[in-house]
Amino acid sequence: MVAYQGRRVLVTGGTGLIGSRLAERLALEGKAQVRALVHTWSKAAWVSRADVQLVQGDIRDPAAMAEALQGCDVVFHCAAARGGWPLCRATNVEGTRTVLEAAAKSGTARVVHLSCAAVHGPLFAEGADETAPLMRSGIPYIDTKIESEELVRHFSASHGLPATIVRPAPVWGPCSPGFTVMPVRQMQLGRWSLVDGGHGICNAVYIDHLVDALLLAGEREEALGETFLVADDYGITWGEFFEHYRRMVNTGPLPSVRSESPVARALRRPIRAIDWLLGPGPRMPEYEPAPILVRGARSGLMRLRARLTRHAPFSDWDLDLYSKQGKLNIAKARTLLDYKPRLSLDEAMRATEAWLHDQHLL
Amino acid sequence: MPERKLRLAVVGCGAIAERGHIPAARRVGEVRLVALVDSDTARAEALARRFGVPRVAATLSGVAAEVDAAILATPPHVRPALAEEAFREGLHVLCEKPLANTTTEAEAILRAAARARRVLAVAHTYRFFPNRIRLYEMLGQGVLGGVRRIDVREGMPAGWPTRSGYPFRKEMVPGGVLLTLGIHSLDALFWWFGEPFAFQYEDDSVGGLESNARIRMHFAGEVEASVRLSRTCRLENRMTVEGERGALSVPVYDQRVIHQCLGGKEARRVVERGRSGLVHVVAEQLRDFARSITEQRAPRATGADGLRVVQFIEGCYAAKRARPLPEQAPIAGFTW
Repeated sequence: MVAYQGRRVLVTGGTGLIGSRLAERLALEGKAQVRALVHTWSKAAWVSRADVQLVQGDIRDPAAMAEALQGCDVVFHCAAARGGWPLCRATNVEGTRTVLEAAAKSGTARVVHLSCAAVHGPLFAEGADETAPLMRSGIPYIDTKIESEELVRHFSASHGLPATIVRPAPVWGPCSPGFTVMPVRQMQLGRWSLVDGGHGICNAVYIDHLVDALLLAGEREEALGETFLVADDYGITWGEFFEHYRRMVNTGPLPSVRSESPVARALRRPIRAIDWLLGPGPRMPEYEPAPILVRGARSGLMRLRARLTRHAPFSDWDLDLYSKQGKLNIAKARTLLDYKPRLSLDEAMRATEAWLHDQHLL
Repeated sequence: MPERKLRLAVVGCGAIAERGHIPAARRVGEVRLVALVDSDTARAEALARRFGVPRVAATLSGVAAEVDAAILATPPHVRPALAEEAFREGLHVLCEKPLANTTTEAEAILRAAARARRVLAVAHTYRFFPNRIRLYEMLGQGVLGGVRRIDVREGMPAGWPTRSGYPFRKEMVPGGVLLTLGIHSLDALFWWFGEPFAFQYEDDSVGGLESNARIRMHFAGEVEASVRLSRTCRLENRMTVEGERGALSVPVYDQRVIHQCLGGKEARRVVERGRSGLVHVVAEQLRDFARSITEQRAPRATGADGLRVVQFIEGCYAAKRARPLPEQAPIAGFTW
């Protein structure tokens, strides 16, 4: 971490799961001068705990990006949006273009671009590495991540921008909504199931392992112009992974659904329609400004969704993810970045359990 | 001849002005909201149009001659100068919490109010929640016998739609969840029990502003208090007072309900029916402020109350600063 001491670093998406932990560790352990880009202030509760300069801005705004990048040596581009096509395209593609243009203009900043392993599709082959084909899936977030990677490669080639792409497996651990908080809560409600008996191979990455890899990607010369897959590499199944959560929740054996279940697949469409209507994010209930009719409609939709998801708790993507047999090959990150997952599964799970207790989620 | 209404300016047009002070002013017969002040005049004009407020200005001096009192609803770092200006102009002031970022600034505001002989009230809104008032009365009546333990758990993932982002910005505030959220519960405890004579404090900041905090306090009469605050997770959101004869508790975000467990019997009592919500309590607060001016009495939460809690919080942060930061980033949320 000596490499970051005193250097100016920008983290876009500074309030997200990955960006906030990265910014915090850059400041505390790396002694870097960290600037984190904040889109929505109310999401800044985690990152604001660290000695980090928070600046409000939108990655789609060239002037804001030029200002945020001023004097920075490294940019970790973690900002991204999930949702429909217009939002994903504007944020993940056009936003990335703005970041890359600003970095190229600055002439000094190297870029670490956060992509995702999902760009290889849900059903990659055993031992797939960074050279595995990129698969469009029709999911806006993932397909626009593929487009954003193309932009990074274009800027590297045509503008000489020093850049690295990191493709993490699904991220779990403290603060992870999708692979820690949600499954734990669903297990508490008796609604979590394994897929195909939990025999699918678990390709996931613990948050601090991913941050280790990002930090290495931002300092190593060997990383420039390269793309890295990052995962824990524990060689376990999803059944073994979720067994840890089951023990934390202290619930009975988890039921299993079949990945090919026609009922589960048929209920996908109405659930997706409800998710679209509900929009993102819960709000504080007591100071909720929505009129009573809106609140009533929202709670009705949420009840309907809960009933539907009882029969179909997973999306098509999830069913593929949790039933897949292939294991990602992270040899390149191990060799070129000297990346190694430093915590054992038990250690990482213990830290996660402690966090869940502290945050009253267990 | 009709009684003259208190002419009011709201200074700072952020979320609390929009959702609290401005709509509340329309409910209080004793006041007339005549001006909105914000350096972002477009924002002020938009709110003025929406709420039918006649005047808009970029600075307080632009409207000071036309008003009798000002509500300072700006982020706290600009309030000392604004309060000073308001008192110099002869205005009464209702100041959002915290009264100031530091004891020194808060004392300066109190001195300015005393010099100008004007009312200084602080927006410690819990003092206007009917269930907090009832709990205070019941404690005074000795319903619990000797008080033994106080437990406060207040937490919710941050969601307040702040415009300036000040609760998260260390260039604007010296503290996080304790200063911007926990201050309400602390003020309520000090109102009920006076100041603690000892405390231990820990939080989760690593060079920034805390989002999780724990305080243990010892009040006179062997009363122990535990306060847990969070803006990252949902806690029980309950204030409980245990005594020799039972326990009383109030939900943090409910203004009307009080739970009691006395002599082995549990009961849930609604202490006030009718209107509740943010605008209702802010309106009650404004009514008290207006009446404290006309009746020449102290408001329910005075400048001295505001100073006391700022002083205590400053002590908490000083105690934390005396400990070194860890070398490795601890797991998120952990306090030490």
